[in-house]
Amino acid sequence: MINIENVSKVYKTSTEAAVKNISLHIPKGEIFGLLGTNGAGKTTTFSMLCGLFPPTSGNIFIKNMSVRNQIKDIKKIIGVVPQNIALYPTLTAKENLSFFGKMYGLTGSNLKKRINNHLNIFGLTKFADKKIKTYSGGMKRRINLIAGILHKPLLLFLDEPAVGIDAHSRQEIMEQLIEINKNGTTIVYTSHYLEEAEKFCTEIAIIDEGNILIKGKPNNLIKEHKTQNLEKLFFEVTKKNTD
Amino acid sequence: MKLKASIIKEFLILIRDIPGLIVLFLMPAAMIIVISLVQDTTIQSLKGTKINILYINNDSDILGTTLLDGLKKSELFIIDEKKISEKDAKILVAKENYKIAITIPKGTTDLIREQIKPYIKSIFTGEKIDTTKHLKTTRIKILSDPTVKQTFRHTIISSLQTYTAKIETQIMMKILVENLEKMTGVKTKISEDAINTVEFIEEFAFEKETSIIPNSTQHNVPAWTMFAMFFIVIPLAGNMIQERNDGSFFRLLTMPGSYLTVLGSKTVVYLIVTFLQFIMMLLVGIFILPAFGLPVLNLGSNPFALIIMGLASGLAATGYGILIGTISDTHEQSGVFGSVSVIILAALGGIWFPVYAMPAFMQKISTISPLNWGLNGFYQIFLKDGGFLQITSYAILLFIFFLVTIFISTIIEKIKRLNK
Repeated sequence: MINIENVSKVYKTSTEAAVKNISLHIPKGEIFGLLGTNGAGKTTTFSMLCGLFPPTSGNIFIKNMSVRNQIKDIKKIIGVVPQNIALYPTLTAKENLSFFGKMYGLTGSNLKKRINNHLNIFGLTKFADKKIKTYSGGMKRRINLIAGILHKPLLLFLDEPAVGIDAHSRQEIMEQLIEINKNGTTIVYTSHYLEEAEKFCTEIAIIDEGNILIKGKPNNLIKEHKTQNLEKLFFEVTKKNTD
Repeated sequence: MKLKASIIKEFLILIRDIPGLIVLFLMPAAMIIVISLVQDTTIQSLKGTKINILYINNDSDILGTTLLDGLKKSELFIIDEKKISEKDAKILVAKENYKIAITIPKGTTDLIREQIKPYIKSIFTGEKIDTTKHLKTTRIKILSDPTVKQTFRHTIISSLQTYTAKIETQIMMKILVENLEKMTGVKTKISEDAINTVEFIEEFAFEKETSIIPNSTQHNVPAWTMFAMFFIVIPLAGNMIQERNDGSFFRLLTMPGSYLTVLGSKTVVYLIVTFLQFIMMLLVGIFILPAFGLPVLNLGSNPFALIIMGLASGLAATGYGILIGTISDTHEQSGVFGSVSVIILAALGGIWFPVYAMPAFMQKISTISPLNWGLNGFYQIFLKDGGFLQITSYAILLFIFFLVTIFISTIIEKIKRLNK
């Protein structure tokens, strides 16, 4: 599904590369976790995958389409859930979802059905006509997620989708994401909740200072490095990198 | 479909922003009412309802009394006549008891007679006059409060000069007649009317018959409408910055569709807003200003031209708002840069001070201000009863300005995003 080939990114405001010659292959159907500390290069990689800006060198292919030349076609098959609550606070949940759905080309009864269905799944039906600014953090996160999945994307990018919300809401969101994945959507996910990533991801890569340090299935990696869990593995590999 | 969805979204955001709507509609209405009333009060004060003048006549002859009568007749001033010293007059003006004091020196009329007599005599005798010997002057002093505007002081000096010249002529004629009587023995009576043969009639030069009378309302409404329309940059730029801060702009960039769709929806919604502002300002001119005793706004006879100018000005203002919103990264930047730049463009454009009265180089600079194009276009309609032909060039300039701002905004957005 995704091929990242020798990609580097140097911001014009910096002399050091934010992402250093990384290569990754993410197969179709995976829930892929890109894990790292703040400033490790997760968001830069995420932004390049979404086509917000091009790599300084190397290339990224999504379904064999280059993000450099075919971003318009790529945008049709991807869904993005940013870390920020990327919604209009003075619009209701329905109005927000209707707008974002229409931007993906959904219309009429199909759009209406999908909105109602998702609001129902995420337990937000009775708040559908309330303005987003009146929502709790967890409710906003759920609408933020729905806005990215309403059009049933083949590939879903999630940037810290459950950050800053209570455990119950987080659990609910993760369960829904697993359902979405089962229905055929490949998920690329960044997070610093390592315990959650261990349970949720079918494959992970740990990125630090712009380099991919390790990549593989969480359980295999834990076994290979003879550690107890992903959190310990993460500290081990990122500490070595720092040393 | 995407554009329609975007327009609906922008519209919903706009109508739910009550403080923003107040800025967009009530503030311009309040501004035009206040400014029109203030300007009208200034004009009224020039007509003599409020300005007090202290008149100290030490001449007690024809000049002193004629000047006093003339000032009274002009309806520009309230005259208070006193017999006090110049020093005391200065104190009274300094204490703001009077805005202006005029002191006529003793013997001024006699001095004029003395000056004129040798000249008249030379006409009859052919004697040469020693100009150095006869050149004596007297000074009519005008003491003014420092707060009195230059234009107002000039009005008074101009009035005094007019009346003095008239008196000098009268004295000259009288001496001339006296000399002629002595020579011929024939009694001659010169009527004062004979001197006033030239009358001034003011008439506006319209190319065709029109009901328009240029007045403060016809000047103010288009000027402040342009100004208010361009102040849309603040809410519009704020809307764009908010969208970026919320992250929804980021989401939009990851979605199928062009950035022009985003700008297109903002353009449509804010163009409607500016056009509604425009209609509201016209209604203020027609219904509200007359309620305060100001002249009724006359829309002229070309509604089509008026609509075109309203739309072209709205487009230019919207384009400028989008440009400011694209350039600025924070609300503070857009607020300061947006408002200051609009004030500069308004000053250059002749909103506050007529372009024709500016220095030559400023007049050249003013031609780059879109507010100047808009104002000139509206003046064609409101002051000259012009039609579509007269406003076309201005409307085209405003439309080109809109296209240029959108083009630059698109480039800047791309540069900002891709050049990271």
